[in-house]
Amino acid sequence: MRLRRGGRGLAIQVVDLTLVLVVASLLTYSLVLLAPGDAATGVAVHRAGPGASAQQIAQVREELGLDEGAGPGQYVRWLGGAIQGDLGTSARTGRPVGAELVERLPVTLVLVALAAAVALPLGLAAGIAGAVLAGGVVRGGLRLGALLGVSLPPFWVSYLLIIVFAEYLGLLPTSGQGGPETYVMPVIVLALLPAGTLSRVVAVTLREALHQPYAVAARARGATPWAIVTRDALPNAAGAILSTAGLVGGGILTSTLVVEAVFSWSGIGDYFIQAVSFRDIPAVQGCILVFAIGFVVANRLADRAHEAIDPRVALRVTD
Amino acid sequence: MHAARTVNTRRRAGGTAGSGFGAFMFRRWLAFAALACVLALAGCGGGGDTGAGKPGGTLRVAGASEFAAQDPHDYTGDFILIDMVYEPLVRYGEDGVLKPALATAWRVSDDGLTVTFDLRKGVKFHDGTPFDAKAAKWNFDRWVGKKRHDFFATSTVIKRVEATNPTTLTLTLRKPYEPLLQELTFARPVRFLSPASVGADGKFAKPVGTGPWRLESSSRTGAKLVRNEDYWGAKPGPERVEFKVLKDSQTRVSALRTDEVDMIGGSYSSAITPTEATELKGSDAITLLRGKPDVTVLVGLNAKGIAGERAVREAIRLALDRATLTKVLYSGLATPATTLFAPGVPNGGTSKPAAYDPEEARRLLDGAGWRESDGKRTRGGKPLRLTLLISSSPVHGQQDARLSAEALADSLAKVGIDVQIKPVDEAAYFDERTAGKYDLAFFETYGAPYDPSGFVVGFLTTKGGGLLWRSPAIDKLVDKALFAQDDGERAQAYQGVYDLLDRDAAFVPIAYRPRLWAVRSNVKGFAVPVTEYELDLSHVTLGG
Repeated sequence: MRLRRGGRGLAIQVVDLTLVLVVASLLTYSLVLLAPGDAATGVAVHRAGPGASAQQIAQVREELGLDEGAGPGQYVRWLGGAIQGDLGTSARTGRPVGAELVERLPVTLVLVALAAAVALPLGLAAGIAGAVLAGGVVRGGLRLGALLGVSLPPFWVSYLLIIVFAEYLGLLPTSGQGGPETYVMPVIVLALLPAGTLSRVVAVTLREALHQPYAVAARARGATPWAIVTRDALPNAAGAILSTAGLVGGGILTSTLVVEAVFSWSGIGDYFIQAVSFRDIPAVQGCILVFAIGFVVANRLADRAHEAIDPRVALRVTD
Repeated sequence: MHAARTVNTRRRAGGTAGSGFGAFMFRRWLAFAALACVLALAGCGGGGDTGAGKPGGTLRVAGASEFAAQDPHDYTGDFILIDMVYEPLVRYGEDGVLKPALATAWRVSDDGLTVTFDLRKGVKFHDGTPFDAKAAKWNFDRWVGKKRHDFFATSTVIKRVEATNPTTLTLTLRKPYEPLLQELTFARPVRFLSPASVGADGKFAKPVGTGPWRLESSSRTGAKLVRNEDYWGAKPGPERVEFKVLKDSQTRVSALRTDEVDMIGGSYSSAITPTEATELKGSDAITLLRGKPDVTVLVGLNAKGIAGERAVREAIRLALDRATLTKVLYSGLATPATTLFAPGVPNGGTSKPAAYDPEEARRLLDGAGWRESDGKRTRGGKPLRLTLLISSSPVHGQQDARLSAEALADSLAKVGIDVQIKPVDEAAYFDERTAGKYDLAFFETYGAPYDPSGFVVGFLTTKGGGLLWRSPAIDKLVDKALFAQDDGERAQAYQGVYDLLDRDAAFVPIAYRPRLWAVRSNVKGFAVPVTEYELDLSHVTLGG
């Protein structure tokens, strides 16, 4: 019984993920096609050095086979290859997209994992404090901090950190990927937005839960505030908190676009930006697949965690 | 009335530019605000480091884009690295004077069809393979006549390559082609790779050249080079050079300030914007260097559409106050342009300096029937409205076009020409510009070592696509210039081209783009290289 349930669940999830990926790639492909420009211009300009004439661009377009026209056929060919694990060749670098993604993925994943490892506890702690505290300077400060974390543009925070920690205090290198010190600023920038979002959601849902009858009853029984929060309120508030965590977790992946550019990291975010500016369709598609998988995985992890905390959810799924 | 009109144009232009420009200004403002906060917090210390030079032999240079395979016959390599590792037969010297490199002398036959090179004796590749005529021929054979290199004229014009004897290489051409020697100074694909370095399949394997530097390693994040102790020419001072890839230009400036790199600069290696250059000027530890400009920033006028009308073209030329524009846009670091090519570009010729005369511009437009009312001009109900196509992000190594576009629109609004700024992303920008989807667009000449023939053929002839301007008369003169065997005849043909362009008001030169480098005080003896595609360190030493 349990086995069958597990097998069916897995099958549903694979189909689900595949559907998400196909839709994401189809949408991306259509958008890239709608946008003017193709890889020939970028490649020609890059080759010639200072600029490329109309004639040079036409020659490159012919060489790359881009003059054969893009359309549904091209997408179907790409999809056929993708299913067999061939993501095509990058027009910009002339190398297989799959290999380039594999090379760059670890760089980005480490950044994302560290940012999540910072953001989740931080957001949770700040949120709990915000819910439990009766008011005053600390709570106001937490709220302001969360607001700033959510609303400050990441590139600006990046420059600010560089000015303070690298230029003024001289504590950290301005950028680059290398030793542990190079991780500090990118991780902070990546963690700010999810931590801020999460802390607000935790604070609001938790405060609501703390006013529920079960929490009042626990308080009447003389339970400590800590026990009420961890044993009663948090598990009940878990749904909203975890689904937010799933969303912002996926969002960290796309935030690497900005952070990798400013701090000169060469991961997926950086690859994506170059691919888009080159209209390098296979590379763009490859990145979108990675981002989509990232979002789906983050959401699934949140769902699993929710099931573990709240058995009612697991029951609802299988009913 | 007049003031109100200007304001209107501003708002309209800003609106079209959309959030891009707004965000840009916002970012600037925020950066200043941030700096102010930091200084306030620090009790207005702002001391920073004093940049004491480090003894030792490693020069640290910023690079703007990741390093790929450095095959000199392909196009994935970095110009600067290629130049440091591999050498050409001839080098592009100051003002386009060719200098011996791997060839000590060269002769062009009277009919212009044979070019003979005397190769430098005793030169070895980094792996010990001798550089001789056989090795040179092997290199030419790797790219001459290959489809991939069709867009490079020299590749199509060479008919035969012969190793006449170990120190003589002879090229036979299909037709006389004067730019050949100049094209042989380029970084790609003409430089020399050790024939012993490639794989069994003939494919590129290791970067082995004859140049003053050996490439030890290169990756997405940087490159390391060591001095070639067996170099035949003047050896550079530093023992090692390390490139650090810093993609963001503001980050590069920070890294220079914090002594993480010793130098930044060059339009294609690690460009500095004029605004950043002005910020750096105040620093004691950093010297800002300016090279002789070789690129001209032009405003192109599309012959199809309203800008094709002679009166409109001439009015635009008269209405642009390039002296003020240049000062504002380049923070006083550039000079206003009057000619297609900057002084110093070989066969750059002369042009009649275009006057700034907005009143004459108004008269011309009035005369052509463009009636002005309420600051806008119309003719038969049709508004005098031009689309200015720009790239919404700064094109690699170039000034942010959004500022230039605003200033240009303001200038033209004063004579009643309505300019709509159309920002698109970089890929779309080149595509739409190539497809001629604009009335006005910025163009830049190629600069050394490509000009004059590179830009003239690419943008001013029917064969090249003639994007900037074309006419049968120009085609004929360009052919004459390229294939003439007499220098005087060639200069005359080029001058004929410039005269025709002047007469047709084909475009409006705006400024000669500044060539900026910034070095820390521990770097001694560095001079801005002759071209943007090289890094000459032969006179550089490092010290406190």
